Amino acid sequence: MRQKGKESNNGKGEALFTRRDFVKTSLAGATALMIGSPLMPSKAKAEKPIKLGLFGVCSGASAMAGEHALKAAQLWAEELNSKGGLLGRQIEVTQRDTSNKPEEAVRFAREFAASGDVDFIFAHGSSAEAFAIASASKELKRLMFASSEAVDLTADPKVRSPYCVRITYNSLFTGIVQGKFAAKISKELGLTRWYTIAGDYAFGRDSVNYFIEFLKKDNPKVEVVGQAWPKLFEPDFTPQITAILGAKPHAVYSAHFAGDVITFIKQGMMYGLFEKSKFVMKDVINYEVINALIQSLGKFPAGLYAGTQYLNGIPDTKANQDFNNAFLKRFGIYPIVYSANFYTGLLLLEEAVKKAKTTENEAVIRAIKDLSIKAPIGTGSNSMVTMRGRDNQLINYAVGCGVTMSEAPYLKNIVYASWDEIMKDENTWMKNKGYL
Amino acid sequence: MNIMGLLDCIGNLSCLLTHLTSAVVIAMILFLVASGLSLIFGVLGIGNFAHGSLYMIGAYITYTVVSKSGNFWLALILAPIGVGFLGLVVERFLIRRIYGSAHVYQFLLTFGLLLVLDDVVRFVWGFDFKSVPTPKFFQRPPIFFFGSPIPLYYVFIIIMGILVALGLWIILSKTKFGKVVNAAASDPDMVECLGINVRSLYTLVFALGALLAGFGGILASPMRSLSPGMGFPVTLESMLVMVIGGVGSIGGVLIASFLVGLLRSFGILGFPDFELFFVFFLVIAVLIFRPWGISGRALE
Amino acid sequence: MKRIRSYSFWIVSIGFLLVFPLVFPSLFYINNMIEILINALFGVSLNLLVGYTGLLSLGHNAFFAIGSYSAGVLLQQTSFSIPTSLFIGLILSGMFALFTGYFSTRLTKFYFAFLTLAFSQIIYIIVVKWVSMTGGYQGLTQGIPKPPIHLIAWSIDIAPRLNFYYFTVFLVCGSFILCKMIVNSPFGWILRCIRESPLRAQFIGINVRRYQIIIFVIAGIFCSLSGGLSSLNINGCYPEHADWLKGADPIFMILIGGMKNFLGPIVGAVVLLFINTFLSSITRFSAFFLGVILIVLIIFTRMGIVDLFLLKKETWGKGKLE
Repeated sequence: MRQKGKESNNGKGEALFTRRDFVKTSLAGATALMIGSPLMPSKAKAEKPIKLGLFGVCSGASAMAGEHALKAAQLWAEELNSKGGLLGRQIEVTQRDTSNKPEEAVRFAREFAASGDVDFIFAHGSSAEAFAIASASKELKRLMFASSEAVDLTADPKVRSPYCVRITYNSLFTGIVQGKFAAKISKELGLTRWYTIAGDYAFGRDSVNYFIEFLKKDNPKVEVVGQAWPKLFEPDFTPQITAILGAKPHAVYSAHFAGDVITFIKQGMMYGLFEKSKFVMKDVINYEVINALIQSLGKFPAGLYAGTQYLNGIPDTKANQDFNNAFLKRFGIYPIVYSANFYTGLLLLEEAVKKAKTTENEAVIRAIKDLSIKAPIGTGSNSMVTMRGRDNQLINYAVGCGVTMSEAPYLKNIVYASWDEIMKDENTWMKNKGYL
Repeated sequence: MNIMGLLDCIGNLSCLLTHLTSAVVIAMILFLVASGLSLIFGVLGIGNFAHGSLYMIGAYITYTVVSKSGNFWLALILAPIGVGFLGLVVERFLIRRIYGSAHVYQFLLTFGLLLVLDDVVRFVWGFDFKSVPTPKFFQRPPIFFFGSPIPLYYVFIIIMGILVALGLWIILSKTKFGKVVNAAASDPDMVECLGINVRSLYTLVFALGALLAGFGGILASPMRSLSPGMGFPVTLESMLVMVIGGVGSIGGVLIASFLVGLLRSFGILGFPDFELFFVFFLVIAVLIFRPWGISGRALE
Repeated sequence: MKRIRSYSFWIVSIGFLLVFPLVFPSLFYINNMIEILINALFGVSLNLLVGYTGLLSLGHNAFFAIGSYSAGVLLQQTSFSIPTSLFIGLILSGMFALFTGYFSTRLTKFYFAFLTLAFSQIIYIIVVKWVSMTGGYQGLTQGIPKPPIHLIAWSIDIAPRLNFYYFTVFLVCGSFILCKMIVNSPFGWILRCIRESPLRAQFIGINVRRYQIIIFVIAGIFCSLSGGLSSLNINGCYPEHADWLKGADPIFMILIGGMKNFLGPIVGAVVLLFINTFLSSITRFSAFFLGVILIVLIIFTRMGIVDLFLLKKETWGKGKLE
């Protein structure tokens, strides 16, 4: 083996470097490294700041989530700090990258919990990480905020953790709302042949399954003539698009999100796909998607049915407007659903801590149960959302459907769903699944 | 499993043509990237795990040129030059150091390069999804061929792909440069003895391989959305194609690209859940029964 | 003399690990140490192939996934004990290694590496598609039960972190000792011979392929154990474990720590943990810096930390690179 090492050639012949010396030096070195490194838990200080520990995917296709989570946290922290902090203590935010590895998520959760340095833990990574976090929260008995739309996170009693709070939407609710909306238009327009397309991932599969379940429940005449499950973040949907064209469905449900929905629409446009069938898009009302489509097609396509997801003006409330203005002013870009959800989660935390008058975990968990606060994604005259105590799931947020249009706010004829209805359907579903 | 659906479509001319076209388009983009990879591996002996990153950079340079100038044709000229130049620099300073080295070092170096390029893209262009608009010339309704819609831009891709394939074939088999490259692939020392500067030759070959990958990215960019990390699955797929096609043969890579394109396009009709499986099974079958691929040369 | 010295090294190290929780009692350290040990086992098992035999296996994480999911599924759905579940994982991995190793070793260099990669992708596809068994993309989310282990008269519960730590130390160090014995045996020296020149090895009558297949199986088995431990550690199994990007991590460990020495991957595991944590806390572009580190290492030295240490030892005194 060629030795290109830079060994010193004025070797002053140290004494024999035995293995024992090696072990000793490496031990000493490792200990020194540990003490000096950021891994070391810090000593307790008087009146220390409240520390938020964020971790999740910061790179790769889901990096937007990480970036927006951090921005939401920064905005919230800065707003609070300028008013004297929370309980008189300043807020600090720290973020770690899990590189989409659930074990890193668990490691950070344990690290943050054990170091005593971090008061509140927020995970913004993938669904797998969220499940890992739920499990870790049970083990460590620490309050953790998780983001994932997978229903089982809070619905399945075996998975659910009293310490894990979900601050994102729930794809079951979305499926209920969009499925029932689709049932209504399918009856009005006679759309009985449906096709579905979604990324082959838990999120995609679940979204489509819930949608079809509630679509068929309200309109049993509906027939699913085909389903496409392209790989997640697939660059090329041409095979699926041509398959859809061949099947000639009356309507298509797309549960794509982020880059996939952009690619799908671009490629579909080339084939004139959107003139051939009606479309219900789960996740197209989203600032980054709209932007990219305008860049690419010249204007945002109109005439598609779409779920409300999140946007400036959707919901059209003052609370949402204020949040968007503040976010835009601070960062120069608009918030997207991740930032809105995260911000809402942080507002919940803030209120819970104020109510409990302490940052001690158990007290905050008790305070957060069934707490209602004003939030950008809230509904009703006071823009409220509620953290449902029995399963730590966010409810009463704005969710509905409309028709897309080419000018802001890009969605018209919006019908927001009634939460009483949603929860009735949810109850039935849970009973069928044996979760209740 | 939906064999009936598959057979139905094959029986129907317009459906058959639609899927065939999509297969060909997928094949063309794959071919561009994989031919570059095959060239680099065949001549330089390097399995370039960062190859997809070159594809990605081609797409991003296109994005920048098009958003600044509004002119896709300009991007078609500038972007390949940019990627080729990047390839040149990478070869000169990095790849050169690992010729003949143990493959673990080749893997690690190119993988390290992949990590670096991905983050450079994130840093320069940002984390969010970027989109290259379909060039104005092609923003027309699809043409209909026996009842099957074919987007005009896809026709363009197919034509470009054929042109490149022809061009490569001519260069590699009819020109002196091509003959030298082929010779260097089998016996670089002899070529050096004959007075040809093999070092520069290697740099040129790597740059050409990079250019091809970048060109694939350029052509694909109006069709797909751009995000950092988009190159990674492309690397894997182009390696699959290179192995199936056999190193050292442009024809082999072309046929392999078609095979993969057909598997993907028709596979989702017959086996919507398992189309991923087939390409990997194919590669494994090739590596077990016919490692030199469709028409590659014998392995070392 | 050397024997005594090398035994004493092992005794000191194992003693250190046993005493570690007393010196650093915080869960924080214990958790990190468990991670390091599991990753180190992954790295050492791969280094049996890369460093000692010269086989670049890019699909090693398939065995990690098999071990991880076997333990997870069996513990969730059957009443097998933890040792049995881990053991079945070892058997399954061994079988898969035999099958894939048989075909992969017919090829060399890039083709060998790529075939191992392709095989590992098949495992990934099985993991994500066999949803009823593996939970698909979501993974096994309902937690991995840890029934107490019955050993003669005692009942050992490895759910508490400290107990799990000692359980890990026991299994990992035991594996290390076994691996060390393998590489120091005549069998191990034949592997080095094959690494240096398979052609020459063949000329002197060694059945190169047979040895490659055997070490491939052995490496797969040890890797499977690290996978099983990992699923117990994080209380779940996720398809990310089977994704080939995970397979790149141990190769980094081997490079950074040094591939020509048994300790290399272990040191690499420690250093990689530090690098990852440190980098991700100071920048969002940690991949860039990791990539730069890799590139710099390959261009300038190609030797890992332990290799460099031993090189100094070689120039200054007695001793040799392994």
